[in-house]
Amino acid sequence: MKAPVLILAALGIAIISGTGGYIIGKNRTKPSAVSAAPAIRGTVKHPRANRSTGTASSIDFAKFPAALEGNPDPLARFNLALQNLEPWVASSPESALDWLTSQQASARRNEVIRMALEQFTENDPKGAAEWSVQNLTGIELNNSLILIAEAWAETDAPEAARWLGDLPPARERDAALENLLFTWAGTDPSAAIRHLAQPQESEELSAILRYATFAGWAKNDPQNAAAASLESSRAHQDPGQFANTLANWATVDLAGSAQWLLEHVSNPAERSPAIHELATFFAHQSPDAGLAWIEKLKPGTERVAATNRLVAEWAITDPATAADWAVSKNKLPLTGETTSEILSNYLLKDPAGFESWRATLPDGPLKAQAAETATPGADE
Amino acid sequence: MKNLLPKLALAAALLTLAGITDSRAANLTLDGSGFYKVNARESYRDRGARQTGRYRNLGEDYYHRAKIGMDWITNNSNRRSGSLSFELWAMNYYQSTGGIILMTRGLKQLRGGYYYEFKVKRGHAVSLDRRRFPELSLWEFTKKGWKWRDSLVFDRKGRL
Repeated sequence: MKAPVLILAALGIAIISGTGGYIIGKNRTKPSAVSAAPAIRGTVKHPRANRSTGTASSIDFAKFPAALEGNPDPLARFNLALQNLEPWVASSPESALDWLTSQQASARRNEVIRMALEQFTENDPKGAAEWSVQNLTGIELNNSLILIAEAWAETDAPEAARWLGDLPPARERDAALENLLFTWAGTDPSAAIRHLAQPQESEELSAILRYATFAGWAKNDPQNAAAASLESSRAHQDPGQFANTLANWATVDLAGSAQWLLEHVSNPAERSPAIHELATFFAHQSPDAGLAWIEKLKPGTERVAATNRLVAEWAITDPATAADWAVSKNKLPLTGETTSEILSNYLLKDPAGFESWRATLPDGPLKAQAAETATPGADE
Repeated sequence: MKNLLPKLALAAALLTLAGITDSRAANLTLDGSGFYKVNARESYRDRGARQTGRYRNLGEDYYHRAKIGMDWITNNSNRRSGSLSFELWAMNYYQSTGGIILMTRGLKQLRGGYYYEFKVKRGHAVSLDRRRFPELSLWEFTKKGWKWRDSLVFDRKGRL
């Protein structure tokens, strides 16, 4: 093929791809690009977004709102603002956001406000948080503050914690603090742990922040996080906290977390809630591996509790296999609640299969309970 | 405090995940398996996507079609419940307390001792476009406003 033909072909492909990309972009389809920069709410800028720095260097942004208002054409006025939005937000973000919110409500205006708040958060999360608290409410405040707190944690977490801590008590404030501590502990666990020593307004909030901190630490350094959480949970008499840290480790490494528990924790009161969590994870990921792990637990109460937990959870996702397994273990110490979980889930998910299985059961308590489960209730 | 309660997990096929709650002392509970499903296709909603339940609108943003469901939503008490809000949240870590609210769907009041079976609600969820732990959450409208009643948290992250 000759060079001009090749160039034309390449040009054609480029035009088609570009047009296709634009059309696809209007209705984004995953997997889509994830912005690395902190953002408010959605992280992907609208495809129509087109910031231009244009003549920004010649603009005095202190006088810019007045200059805009001097333009009688609302559309031209808005376009001029949009052309200079990036330097304007960089220079006077509150002024830009206040001017935007003063404009007639429209889809475009709202979209631009969101873009401006994104940029504001990247440059000055504190300022963005202050603007959000003053201008947003309810769910928008909840969602925005969480994302701002995450971004802020990466630049100045202590300042973010101080600022959020000074806000009046509110669910949105607590959620932002929790997510701040989670992100902070992922990068600087020592500093986040030191922050936990500061008194909080309630024991409930203190506990939430502890859980978040150790979960964040466990994300990058699970063994040290688990050890520290164990000590902390002893000090606060809250074994559930350690169990939560271990569970967060288990979300990425079930085998490692399960082995660590066996090797490092011997107190039954501390092991019990953690075993409960891990048995649940095993039931969902690999019941066979879970049953093998249970064999390593202490015989008696601990092993029985773990078996019941695993089988009850297993029965929810695969009741037929769980039921067959339970029957194969003749003298399995299953509680009535676990047996009921197996039977009711089996009946719910596969009535015909349940009836066939029930018919094969030997006479005894299990068959009787299965018959009772299959008996329909009387109509009212 | 909800994150101190033992919670659930998953079993999955493609984007659909299932989880399970523990029984607890509260009057209203999420029982059995739950699931969520989010459509890959997203669109920008300049006036937000209509919600029901606790919120009417979550604001302008990208949204995708979403579906959430539970095997059973049970009123274990003798009294009639208030209106219910069945919600999809995105959590930073497993069993987190606070998170980002993606979708709220209303359910009618539930008589004492009654339950919803295979309850599935469709709607539009805010697209966060980040990997988070999904959580299904149940809220009840009371004389003191909306009160949290139960949650089902999935033990694997999904892109929400």
